Amino acid sequence: MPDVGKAIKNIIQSYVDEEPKSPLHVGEVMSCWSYLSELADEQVHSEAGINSTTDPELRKAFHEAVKMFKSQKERMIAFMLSEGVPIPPLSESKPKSNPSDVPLGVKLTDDELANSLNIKMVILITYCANAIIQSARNDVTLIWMEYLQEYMAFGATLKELVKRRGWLKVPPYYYAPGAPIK
Amino acid sequence: MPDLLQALKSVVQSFIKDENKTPLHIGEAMGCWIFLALAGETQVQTEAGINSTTDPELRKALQEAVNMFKSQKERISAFMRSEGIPLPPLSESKPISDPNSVPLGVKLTDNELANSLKKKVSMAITNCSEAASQSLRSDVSLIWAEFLQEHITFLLILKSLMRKRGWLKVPPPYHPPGLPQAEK
Repeated sequence: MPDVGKAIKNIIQSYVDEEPKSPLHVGEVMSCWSYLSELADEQVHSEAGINSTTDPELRKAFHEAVKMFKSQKERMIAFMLSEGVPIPPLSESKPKSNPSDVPLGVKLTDDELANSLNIKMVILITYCANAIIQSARNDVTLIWMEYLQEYMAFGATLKELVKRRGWLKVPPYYYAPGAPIK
Repeated sequence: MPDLLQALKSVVQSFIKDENKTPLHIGEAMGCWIFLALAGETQVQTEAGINSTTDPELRKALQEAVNMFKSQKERISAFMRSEGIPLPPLSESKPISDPNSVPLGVKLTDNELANSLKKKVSMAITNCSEAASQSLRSDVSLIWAEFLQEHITFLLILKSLMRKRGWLKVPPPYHPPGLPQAEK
């Protein structure tokens, strides 16, 4: 993934630098805190996903998701600690296990796994956008922007996979009478 | 501007080419329609804002917002027309008028104008991100990513101005006892 974080930073850095660093406000703290606990959950769910499927493409997507969640988690923890915000209790990483041993009453199909990952992206994108709106300090906005960008890029790749494998759920088409023919 | 958009473009571009274009689904159509209606409305209200203040910095910010909304309006209407979606009724641009002739019972203060603009941009961000996460066609996602990018950048700059002028409304600070001192 190209490093956009750096590019955006250049543009906005001047605004961030000039700014006096006020303490975080309650809304910013709330977003960081609940996002971090959410993030750890998502990471664990994705790990469980890896342990539930043998499909190589899907496993790869999950691995990438786990990597992304992990790196975001670390960055968020570092930021929160430096601002004096306590860290929520976090779920621990799951050990590796054999996907074929999962009882069928528990095992999610590849279709369900892919869609659950997709839904996570949808939720997290909305979450980041909300955090951006709320935050008053521009350096905080920057953190959320970075996350948002990562999700959108990952979401685009994932969508391609989901579509190719026929897992995509498509809402009804908009068929206007007399719409132009493609 | 190198950014979110550039990254996404490089990812998405390859998909767009080999994607066979399905018709839009109802959610995508709804996203376009509602955004266009909002953008049209916001543009006119922001023009009214320009006609209400003499503050040069605020006027500049409002003018930039108008330009942004106008250009987005044009792009989204062109796209909607090509996809066969009817356009919502839109308001017309306001003529230029003298800010000093606005009666005080109607005139919004600079503070109020700046905050209302911020609220509108915030709403647009929510709208765009929602539409982006709903859309399935890559070219549609790209439109929303583009708009999202523009709005967020604008919001950042506007927030700096508002902070400088003391217009920014900040929720109570998080101030637990023993908070580390910022290193100077």
